[in-house]
Formats: sequence, structure tokens, C-alpha cells
Amino acid sequence: MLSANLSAIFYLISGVLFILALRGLSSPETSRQGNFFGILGMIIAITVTFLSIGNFSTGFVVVLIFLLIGGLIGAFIAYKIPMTAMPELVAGFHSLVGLAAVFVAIAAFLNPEAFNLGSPGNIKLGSLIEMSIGAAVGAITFSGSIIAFLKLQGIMSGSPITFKGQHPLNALILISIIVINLSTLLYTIF
Amino acid sequence: MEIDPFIFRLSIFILSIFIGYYVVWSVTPSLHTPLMSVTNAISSVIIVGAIIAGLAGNSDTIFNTSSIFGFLAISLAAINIFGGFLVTQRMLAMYKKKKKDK
Repeated sequence: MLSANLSAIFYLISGVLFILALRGLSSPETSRQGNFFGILGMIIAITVTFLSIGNFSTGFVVVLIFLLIGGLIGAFIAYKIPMTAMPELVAGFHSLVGLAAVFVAIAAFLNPEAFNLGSPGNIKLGSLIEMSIGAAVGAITFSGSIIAFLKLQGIMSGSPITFKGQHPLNALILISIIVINLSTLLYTIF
Repeated sequence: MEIDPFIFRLSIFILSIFIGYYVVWSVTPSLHTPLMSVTNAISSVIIVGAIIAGLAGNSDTIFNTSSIFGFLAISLAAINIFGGFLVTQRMLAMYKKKKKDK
């Protein structure tokens, strides 16, 4: 089992590798190297997570199975998809990340001990803020990417959909997200 | 006086916003799609949280609500990791070939 400090350092390394990956993708000469840095950073992050939890019992096997299922689906799609369909593929993939972020926020809320965030019903304030923002941003990513996918695929018209009172409605939605988040926080604190 | 860990994370978050902004600022237009797909693959680092949630249960409680959400999130993020990096590799390979032809 890795100590918390050591795993934090490894996470820092993978963070730096991710930044180098983005940097590498900005010019054709370094782009392949950039992709490699990204893969390396991801391998480090996942390995360190397994090692820092150090739980290699039944749960570990289940986690590996789900990881493999996802990996196989992803690899299959990546090889099968025609090159012309790349933009909508990326949009479709991106919606999955949004959904995953929402699921992780739910999981963290239900079982805060696993994330070292306190106990159920008594989660630290900062973590609650992170969770509620994470869930909201994840959900927006999910629905937004699906719309992007449908538009790029041509299932939905590419012209912007506008209706009367759109901006007030958007503002209302934003305010309700903030109000719901705040009321959750206040409810949990008091 | 000790600084709340939340402030630390907030600082990292704010600084990362600037890194993202400046790193992506001067990208060649032809590389926009690969960059999007790598960024998307990297965002799947959420899998770390999903693994933590999935591994939280002991042998009696492997399939409680929290870890089931974790398992689902692991699969979703894994689709993205493998799919994202492989697709980027395919796109970049094509880019290289095109350059040689010219």
C-alpha cells in the first residue's frame, strides 16, 4: 500500500504528463509524443490508485472486469469507426465522461468514507461544494455532448435552436442549479 | 495557522484553468480534432474516483449502491480512455501519411 504522500507525488507526475500531452498536441511534430505522454499519465494514475487502496480481494476482480468491458468497447469503436466520423465520435465519447463524473459524485455522496470526506450525512463542506459542482458540470457535459453528437451526425439540424424567452430560461436554470446546490449545503450543515 | 485543504484544491483548480488556456491557445487548426480527442481521453482520469468508489466495499458489500455507481463509471471512463487514445493515434498516423505524400 502506497502512503498518501507518495501517491500524491505520483498523481502530480501524471498531472504534469497530461499537461505535456496537451502541449505536444499543439504541433504536428510533437503530436505523437504528446499522445504517448497522455497514455503514460493515465497508466500511472490508474496503477497508483490501485496500489494506494491496496485492496486486491473480490472487489479488485470486479473492478478489473468492468475496466476490461469498457476498454474493449472503446477499442472496438476506435478501430471500427470511419475517419470521417471522428468529430461526432469524440463528442459521443465526451458525453460518457460527463455521465461518469455524475456517477462518481453520487458514489462519493453515498459513501464518503471511501473518499476520506467524512461520514454519510456529515460530509465536509468543501467536499460537498466540490461534489455538487462536479455533478452539475458532469450533467451539463453529458447532455451538451449528446446534442453535439446528434448535430454532427446530422440527426439533428445544425442550425441553432432558439425560442422566445430562451435566455431568461437559461438564467433561471443556472440560478436553480445554484439555489439547489446551496440549499443542499445549508441542509447538510444545519 | 493551518490552511484548509479546500483552499489548496481551489488554488490547483484555478492555476489549472490558466495552464489549459495557454497550452491550447496556439494550436494548428488541422490538429483541433486530435487535440479534442486527447483532452477528452485525459478527462477520463475521473476513473480514479470511480475505482476508489468501486473498491470501497469489503467482501460482503461489494455491490452496494455506491460501488455499483463506481463500477458503471469505471466502464464509461474506460471506453473513453481506450477509445480516446486509440482514435487519436489513428488520426495522427493519418496526418503523418498525408505529410509524406506531399
